[in-house]
Amino acid sequence: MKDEKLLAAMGQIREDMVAAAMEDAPHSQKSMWIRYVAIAATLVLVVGTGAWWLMRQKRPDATASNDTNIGGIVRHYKAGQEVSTEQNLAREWEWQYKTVSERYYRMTLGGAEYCIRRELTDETLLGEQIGTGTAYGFDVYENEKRHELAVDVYMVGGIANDLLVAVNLGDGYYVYGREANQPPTDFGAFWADYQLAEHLQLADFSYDIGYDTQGNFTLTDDAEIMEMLQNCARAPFTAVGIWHKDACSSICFSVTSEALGIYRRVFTITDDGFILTNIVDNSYCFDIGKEAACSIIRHTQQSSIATEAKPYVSTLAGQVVAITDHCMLIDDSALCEDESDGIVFRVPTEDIRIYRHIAVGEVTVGDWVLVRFTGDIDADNQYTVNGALNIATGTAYHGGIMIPE
Amino acid sequence: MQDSEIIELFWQRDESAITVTVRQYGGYCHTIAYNILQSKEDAEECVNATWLAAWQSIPPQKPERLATYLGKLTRNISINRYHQANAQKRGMGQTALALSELDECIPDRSNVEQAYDEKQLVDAIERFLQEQPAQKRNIFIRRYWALYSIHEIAVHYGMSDSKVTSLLFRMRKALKALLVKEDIVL
Repeated sequence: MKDEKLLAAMGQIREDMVAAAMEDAPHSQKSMWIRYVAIAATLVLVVGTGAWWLMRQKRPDATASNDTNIGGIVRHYKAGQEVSTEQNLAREWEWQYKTVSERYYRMTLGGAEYCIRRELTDETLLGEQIGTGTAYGFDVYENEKRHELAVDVYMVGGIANDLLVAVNLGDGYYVYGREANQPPTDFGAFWADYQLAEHLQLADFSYDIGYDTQGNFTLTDDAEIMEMLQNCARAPFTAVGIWHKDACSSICFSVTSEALGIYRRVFTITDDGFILTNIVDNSYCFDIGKEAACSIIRHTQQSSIATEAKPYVSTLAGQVVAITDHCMLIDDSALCEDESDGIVFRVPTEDIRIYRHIAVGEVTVGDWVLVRFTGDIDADNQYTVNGALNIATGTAYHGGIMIPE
Repeated sequence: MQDSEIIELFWQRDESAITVTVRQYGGYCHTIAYNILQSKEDAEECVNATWLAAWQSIPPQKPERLATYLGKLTRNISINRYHQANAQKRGMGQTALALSELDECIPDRSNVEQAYDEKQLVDAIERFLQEQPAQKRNIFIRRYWALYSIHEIAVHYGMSDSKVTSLLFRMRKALKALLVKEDIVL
C-alpha cells in the first residue's frame, strides 16, 4: 500500500506542473504546441512546453552531420528549423471525416466484445467465416450517438476466435482482439494460443545493458532462435514487478505481425532468465531460466548484423505547392542547406486521413505542413509518401515553421 | 469555448456546461481513465462519473485550470475503480506497473523513524520535480500522474522505450534518495 500512497501523493502535486505536462496530451481537446526543429543531424518535433520529440532517422551511409533520413531518403537540412503547432494530431474527428475503422472500433459477436487492433492487408491469413457480428462506435459530436454496422467475422491466422478475429468493414479487413483477463499459464500455452511459430517473426532488435541501448541489430535467420523459444514451453507466467531490466542485459526485438494486428511491439529476453512482451495488449512475463535465456541471447548475437535504429513513425516537413484531386505536393527546399537540393514530395490525398484536413479547409497551397507516415518514400514514383497518417499545418518563421491550430 | 465561460455555465447551473465539457475534454479524461483501467467500458463509466462529480462540485469550486481539475477527478475516480476491480484481475495495466515502479522510491522503514505525512510527501515530490528539467518533469508526471505507458511516452517524445524507462528509473532513484534524506517514511 506504500506505493499507492506515493501514487496518491502524485495526485496532489501542483496543478501548474500537471497542466504543463498534460497540455500536449494526444487526446486533449485543449490547444497544444508542437515545435518541429531540425537541429544539426536531426528533425526534432517539440510537443508542448519543454517536451522534445527527437526523431533521428540517419541512414547507415549518411556521413555528414546534417544528413537526415526521411522514409529512406537522405536529406541535408540546415540547423535551426522550427515548426510550432496548436493542432492536435490525435484528435476526435467528426463522424463524416472518420475512417471506417475509426468509426467502428468495437465489435460484438455472440455476446463477446472485441476491440480493433490493425488493418489486415494479407487476405491469405483469413480463415473461415464464423458469423456476423455488430461493429459499433459513437459520434461524440452528436451526443454519443451509437452507430452500428453488420459485419462478417472470420478466423484469422488459425488463432482461436476467442482471442482474435478478422472483420470485414467494407473497405478492408481488420484484426479485432478480445481483452484477455486471464494470462496463459505458461509460455507454451501463450505460444500455441497465438500460433507464434507462424506469426512471430524476429528480426530487428536492440541489445541493452540495463536500460541503455548498446546497439541495434538484425537477425539474419530466426529459425534456430524460434526452436529454442519453443523449448521454453514450460516456462511459467510470472507476476507483476519483473518488468524491470535495470540489473541485467537483454535483447529487445521489435515485432510487427499482420495476423496478430500489432505494429512495433516488444519481445524481450533478459539474461537473468525472463521473456517480457506486450504483443498482446497486456504485458506478459515468463520465467524461462537463466540458462535458456543466455543461450538464446548468445545465439541471437552470433546470428545478427549491426544496423540502424528505425523510427516508429517518420515525419516530413515542407511547404504545400499544389493540391490536386489525387495528391498534395510538398516542397522541402527551404529546409535544405542548399535550397537547390529541395525535393517536391507527393502525398496521396485519396486517403481520408489526409483528405479530411483539406476538406475542412485546414490545408491550402502555400501552407507549411508536417506529415507523419509509417511507410517509405518511393523515389522512383515522384517521391510518393506511403502510409501517411496525418498532417499538421503552419507558417514558417526564423527559417523554420510555425504551425497554428 | 474558454474555460472561464464553461465554468460560468456550471455556476449558472446550465446543463449545456456538461455538453460543452464532454465535447472539449471527453477525449482527455477518457485517456486518463483508460490508462488507469485498461478497459474502455470502465473508462467510459468513470468519465461519466467525472461529469457528475464536476456538476456537483462546481460550484462551490471555481477551478483555475478546468482540464487539470477534470483530469484530477477522473484520476481519483478511476484509481478507486481500479482498486475495486483489481482483486480478480491478473492483467498488468499501467496502474499495476506504475505502482510496482513507484515501490522502488519507498525508503526502507528501518532506516527512518519519522511518520508518514502526506503533506510533507507531496511537498517533497513537488520540490523534487521542480528541480528537474522541464522534459524530465513532464515525463515523470505523464507516467505517474496520468499513467501513460512507457511506450506512449516514448512515442510522444520520440525516444526509445528503453531511454524513457532508464530516465524514469534514475528519477525514481533520485526521488528515493531525497525521501531518505528527509526521513520521509510511508
